[in-house]
Amino acid sequence: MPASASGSDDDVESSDDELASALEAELFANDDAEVKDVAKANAGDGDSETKRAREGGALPRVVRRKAFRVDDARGRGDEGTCAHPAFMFEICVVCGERKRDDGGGSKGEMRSGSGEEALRGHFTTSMRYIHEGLTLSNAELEKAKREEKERVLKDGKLTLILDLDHTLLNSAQFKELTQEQHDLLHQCIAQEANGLAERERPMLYCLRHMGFFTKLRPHVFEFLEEVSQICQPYVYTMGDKAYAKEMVKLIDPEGKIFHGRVISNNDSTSSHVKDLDIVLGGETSAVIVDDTERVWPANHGNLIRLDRYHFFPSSAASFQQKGQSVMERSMVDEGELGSMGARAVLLDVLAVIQSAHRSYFKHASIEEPDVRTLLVKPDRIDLPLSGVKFVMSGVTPLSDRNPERHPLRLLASTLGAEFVSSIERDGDSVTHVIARSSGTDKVKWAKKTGGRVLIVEPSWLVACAQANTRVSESLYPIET
Amino acid sequence: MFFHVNLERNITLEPRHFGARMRAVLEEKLRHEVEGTCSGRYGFIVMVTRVDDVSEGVVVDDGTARAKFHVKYDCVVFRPFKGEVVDAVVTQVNKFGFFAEAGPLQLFVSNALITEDMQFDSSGENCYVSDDQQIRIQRDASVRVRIVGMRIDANDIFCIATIKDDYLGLIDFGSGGL
Ligand SMILES: [Mg+2]
Repeated sequence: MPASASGSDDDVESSDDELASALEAELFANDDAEVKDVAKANAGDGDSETKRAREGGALPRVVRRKAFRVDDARGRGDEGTCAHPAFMFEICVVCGERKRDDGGGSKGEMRSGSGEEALRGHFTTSMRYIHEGLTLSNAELEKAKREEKERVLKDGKLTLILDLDHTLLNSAQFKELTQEQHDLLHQCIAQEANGLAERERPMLYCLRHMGFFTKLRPHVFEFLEEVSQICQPYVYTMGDKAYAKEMVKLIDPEGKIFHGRVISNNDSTSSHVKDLDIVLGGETSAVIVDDTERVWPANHGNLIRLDRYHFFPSSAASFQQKGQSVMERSMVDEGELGSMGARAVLLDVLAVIQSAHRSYFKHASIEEPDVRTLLVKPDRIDLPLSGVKFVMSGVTPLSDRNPERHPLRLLASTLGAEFVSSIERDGDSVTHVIARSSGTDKVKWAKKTGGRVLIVEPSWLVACAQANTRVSESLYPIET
Repeated sequence: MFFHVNLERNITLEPRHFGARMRAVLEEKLRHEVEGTCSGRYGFIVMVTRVDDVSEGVVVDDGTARAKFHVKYDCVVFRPFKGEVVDAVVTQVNKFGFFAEAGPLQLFVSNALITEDMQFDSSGENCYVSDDQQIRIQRDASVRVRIVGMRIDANDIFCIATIKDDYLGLIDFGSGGL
């Protein structure tokens, strides 16, 4: 062993090593042990002196009272056996017993074990994002989810799960950018700093200590501010904990929105997919906002799948969208060109969430709504666009294999409008064509119906959601 | 519980310290190495009170010319026991309970071991509030707890504690209190 180890393992067992074991035996033998005799000297003496003084009422702020008891201790079974509802650093939080090794169930085991609750504590889930040492039994997790869901719904809120990358922001490592791009970005940061109004926060950051640039998606602050009024938001990212922490600092600098509800790769029950299993909330009242559909195999119905946000060229290139990043399109960002350019996607998503939230709580007192149906097929007659049947033209990207989770499609359906997939087959029932530009086949077809089919710009949907009524279509014509 | 015990340790010194102040350097190094550490057997070493015996130094046989000394010393240790009542300061509160620190010792009090009249409240700062709103356990509050379980590792001790017993619970609201 090298001498530089400076004796870290050099602790020599003391000659009176029986002390601790003797004491332990003593303490467990009779509850009110004569510990004072055993302790050679009691350095805590002065301390207990002040404690006694306090208990005597010397300090007015001391709270002294008998414990409040209901018949049975929570978590404890009838015969005094412990159900081990949760573990902290592998010891039971109720009885202090060490966790047995057979209880390290993965998610799969947990699911399959739902019928065998009798096997107490066998199926446990790690809740690292709440605390690194916390593990919950299956039953306790279900209970916590149920309670939290009720609490959140009582506050009039839905549960909202937000992705970070390409959803709320875009990051690129230093090494992925050319020197010119570095210079340009630093220029932009300086320029932005000069133009900032008071209390306004920058959108572009250079994080030297992490070695990358981060650009927040347009309207992210407005979006978070608004959704936190009607939802309890979580961040759920495939990035690691350090990255997630850093990003949340940028989008929630005062810590008022997420309050530690940040789930990173290190906390997830699986490294390849995301799952609502550790989110404290119910599937019927949770909305997910993510750019990647396949990471949510079990919760597809809760998803609002928005278009990826690419600010940096390397980001667009890694998704085979070369040339589609904001930097490559002469810095024209989402929503900056009005109806001509890319839409302000987060505002569209906000409208979907607001609309779903409104219809969820409208009838929540009579029946238990399911946000998954409200998003796609509300089946109600009292919604602003009930009776509208629409086709879309050029709104969702052609490459999109699942356009039904697109924010604008969901927005139309939460408002009560019904999607028609083909004008050839059901053209007669169509009432609206929602399009970005004229010149498409569907727009030409609609024009030939002599005004029976109305042609509107997608912003009409957002306006209807905001006004909670059917806004006049003539205010939202498409560009010609 | 605190104890005053006699322990031993080997300390290695660099040759540059082999001078008039060697003894002082040795004692300083001992303090630096042991104070604040934790062993499963003795608990946390709070303070070295006396160095009572230092052996002759033996130059280590590895070409570095460092010398090893065998040191016996008295120190105050803090060793928690199951069933012991300790006072602690709350450090973190969440839905599942709260964490508190009794000096170097970390304790966790789960919501199952918090009296039934106290509910978790996250409307402001996370806390547990009694039904009559009189008692509020939040960060920086002082609590008296009883240890119900311990996890003793080679160099750390972690405890599960309860406030569900007579005269346990809040003893001082702390700086942020009412
Ligand atoms: Mg993503």
